[in-house]
Amino acid sequence: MIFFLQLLVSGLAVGSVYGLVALGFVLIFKATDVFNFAQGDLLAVGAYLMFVALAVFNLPVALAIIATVVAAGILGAMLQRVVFKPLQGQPLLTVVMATIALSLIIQGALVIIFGSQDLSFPRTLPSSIVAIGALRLSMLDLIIMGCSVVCVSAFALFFRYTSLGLQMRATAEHPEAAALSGINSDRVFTVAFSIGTVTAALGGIFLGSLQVVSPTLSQIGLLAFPAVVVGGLTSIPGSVIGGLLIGVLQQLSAGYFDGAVASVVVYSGLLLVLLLRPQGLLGRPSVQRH
Amino acid sequence: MSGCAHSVAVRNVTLRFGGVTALNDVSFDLGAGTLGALIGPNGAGKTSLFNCLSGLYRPTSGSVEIAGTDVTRLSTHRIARLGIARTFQSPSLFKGLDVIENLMMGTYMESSGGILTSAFRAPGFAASEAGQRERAEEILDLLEIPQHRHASVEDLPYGLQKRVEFGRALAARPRLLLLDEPMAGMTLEEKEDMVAFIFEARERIGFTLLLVEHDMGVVMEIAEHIVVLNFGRKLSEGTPAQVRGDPSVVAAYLGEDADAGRQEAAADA
Amino acid sequence: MQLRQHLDTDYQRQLRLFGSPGAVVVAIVAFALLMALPFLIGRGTLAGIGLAAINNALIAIIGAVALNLLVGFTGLLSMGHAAFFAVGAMAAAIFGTQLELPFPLVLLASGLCGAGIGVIVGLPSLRLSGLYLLLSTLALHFLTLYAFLQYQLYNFGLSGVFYPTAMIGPIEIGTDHRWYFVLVACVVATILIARNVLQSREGRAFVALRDHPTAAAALGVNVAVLRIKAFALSSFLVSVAGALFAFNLGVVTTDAFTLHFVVAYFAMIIIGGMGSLLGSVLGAVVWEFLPQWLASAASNIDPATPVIGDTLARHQAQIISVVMGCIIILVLIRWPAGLAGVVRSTVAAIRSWPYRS
Repeated sequence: MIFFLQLLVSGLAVGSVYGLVALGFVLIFKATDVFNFAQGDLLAVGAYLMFVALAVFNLPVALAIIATVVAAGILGAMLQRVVFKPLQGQPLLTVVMATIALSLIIQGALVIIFGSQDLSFPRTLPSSIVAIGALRLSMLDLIIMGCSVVCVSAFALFFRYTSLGLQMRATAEHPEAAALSGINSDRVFTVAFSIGTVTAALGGIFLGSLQVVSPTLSQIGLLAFPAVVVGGLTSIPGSVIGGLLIGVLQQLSAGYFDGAVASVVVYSGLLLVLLLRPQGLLGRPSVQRH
Repeated sequence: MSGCAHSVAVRNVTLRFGGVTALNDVSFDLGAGTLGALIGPNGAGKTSLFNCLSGLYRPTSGSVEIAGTDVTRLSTHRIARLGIARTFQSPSLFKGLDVIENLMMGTYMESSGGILTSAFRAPGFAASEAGQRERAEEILDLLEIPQHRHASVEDLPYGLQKRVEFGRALAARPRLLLLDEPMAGMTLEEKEDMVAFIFEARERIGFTLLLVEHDMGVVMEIAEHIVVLNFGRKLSEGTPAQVRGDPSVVAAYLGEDADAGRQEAAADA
Repeated sequence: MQLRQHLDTDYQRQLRLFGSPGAVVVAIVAFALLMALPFLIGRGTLAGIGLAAINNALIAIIGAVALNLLVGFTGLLSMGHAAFFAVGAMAAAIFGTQLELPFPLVLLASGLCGAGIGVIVGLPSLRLSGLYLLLSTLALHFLTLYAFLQYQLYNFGLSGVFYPTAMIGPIEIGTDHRWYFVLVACVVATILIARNVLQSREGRAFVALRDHPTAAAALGVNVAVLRIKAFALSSFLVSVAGALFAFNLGVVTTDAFTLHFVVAYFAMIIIGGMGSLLGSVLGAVVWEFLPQWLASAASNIDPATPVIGDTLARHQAQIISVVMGCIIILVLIRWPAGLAGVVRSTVAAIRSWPYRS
């Protein structure tokens, strides 16, 4: 029982990382129609940026996080301007290919710059153990969960109450009407990419604290996709819930069996959801047949 | 030569999505072989009705019968196989195929084959392809565009694209032909040509026609039976003369004030 | 009547393999060159490329043609490429290594296994939008690799799955030389099959599915079924490529089938030209050979050169990744029709010279 609960907690922690990455993905997808296959790689970029902030610039943790987030936001904006703006209006196929190419570039560049060995953050978030009865919980896990809740809530408030957030929701729901109402879709797209990259980077910061920083982070970042499918391709709250579910599923499988089996379980779960309820938990089933 | 054209019976069709009611209790009949037209202001629900007839949308309630068969729940390709062909409001030619290949796609239902037959050029393949090609050539001749046989459809002017799309629907030898604004964007001459082509195609193939069109001149020239929609409801139905004289139709098109204005003028006189 | 007969001959000419005496001459010359190539190269290299690399490129051509049929011509996004190579390799081991069936039969059986799995995976996802196929094939990728690993560990061991020397009748296909001829035959067969399918009712329907599935449905095309057929055809060819790959290599582990492998094939068809058979060939050749050319050019740079030299030496594969990724994005933005498109425009420009097209 204890074992189960501890796995559950670490699952929720890892799950909130997946949730953040998935949230960024769904945001970009809803606002700009770009299916960003490189979202998992952006998680790795975030982790490496944090590493640079901590190890190269020797910033204190809080400042490092801020610097990483800002850098990620700028990166996202640049990606949108340089790669996706010229491809606007192109069929989905082309855009997905571009994100696949981006994935290739990011993975190659990370190894060229940092090498393929494991790196660790020199100064991480506090990682003491918290004891609740017989339960041994990692402080880090709790902090990550807490931070994720704060981030997701912040984004939710942003979308609901700020003017820019409203504009993004409008553009996501009905791009033509939004443009006609005078919303600058260009700005909306750039912001969407920035935020999407920032959430992935945050996920990278957290994951890098939980584990090591290495090129395999990109592979782990891919787990955002099952999260998105489970939650619903078009649902922002769904992506977070999906992330948590996938995280828990993964940790439980890894704990009771092994890592390879965990991967199988998660991806089988994805297939199952596609088979039985393709719109995921909170997504909307489409009206048309094709 | 004429096949047996299909009759159309629409009964109390209502179509709702989200909060929008696109069609509200619409009913009408179209006799076999009739040249029909569906008119109404923008947003009246004409394309939605077409989509219900061709299986792209499933009505929330009500039924659609074509030649006595209930097609309300059938999928698009099954409805097509019953002999229904349509064109779309926005260009829907296949960009990766040239003009003649687009027309040959119209013959898809009549031909048969399979990947293995094609891959290994089994006997029967050549004859089947030749037959399809022949039909496409007939359409090219009918529509007077044989010189565009191998043109890339993207390079064609808009009016020609519409003509090719019309030809593609004809290649399927339909018994019910649904044309969604086939003359939009055409010049006067092109429209005249299209009207002639429609009549000639009807002579050769013998279909029932339902045409969505904004140009009233064209509608009056072609249609034998007109259905008028407004805000998702059927406003009027009948021969061109009947519909033209229907005051509710006049009001819908010209506005209540114009109608009142005429009545005032009549009262003053 | 006369015109109709003329056109009939015209179309039949189009359908035949060699449309004109000119085409026959070109084919004969190309054939002669292809046959002579292995003798010209021998054990050496031509511009840094040896016969083994050429064989790899030939296998890649089959894979690229198959992927282009699915993605370029039918518009279906699939991440399953590596998975189907693995299926082919696994089936080749079962039928070839374990059951010791004759090689040609092994190829056929591997292809059929791939097609079967393609149908099973395609069934649920092809009713839905293309994105769902992308996601379900991503899942398939990981699940298949796991299955392959288990198969390998259970039947062979840590060093990998072993394959015997391929035999066609009494002839042993043991050298690069002999593999070359087998692979050229396979490539020619693949291209012929692809071309025949594309110039037929089904091939036109594939393109229709890609360009406007709704209009295709309105013409009687059963969209879901045809998509599954496209997926089955593509998977068949990919699995055959996988079997060839496995037998050629001799030993295979899951290291061969990474997501990078999948991305590499996408790179091939994008750079070569999506929706073009010529594009598949060009893309596969460029992707396989460019690194070799880069490597031999890079070997001229002294590893002691600061930054560049060291990076080139240690991270060659990654540099190629980055360069290729940038090329892909450039191609997508600037020359979406790829190398094949450039070839076509050049040929058209030459034909219509001195007029501008």
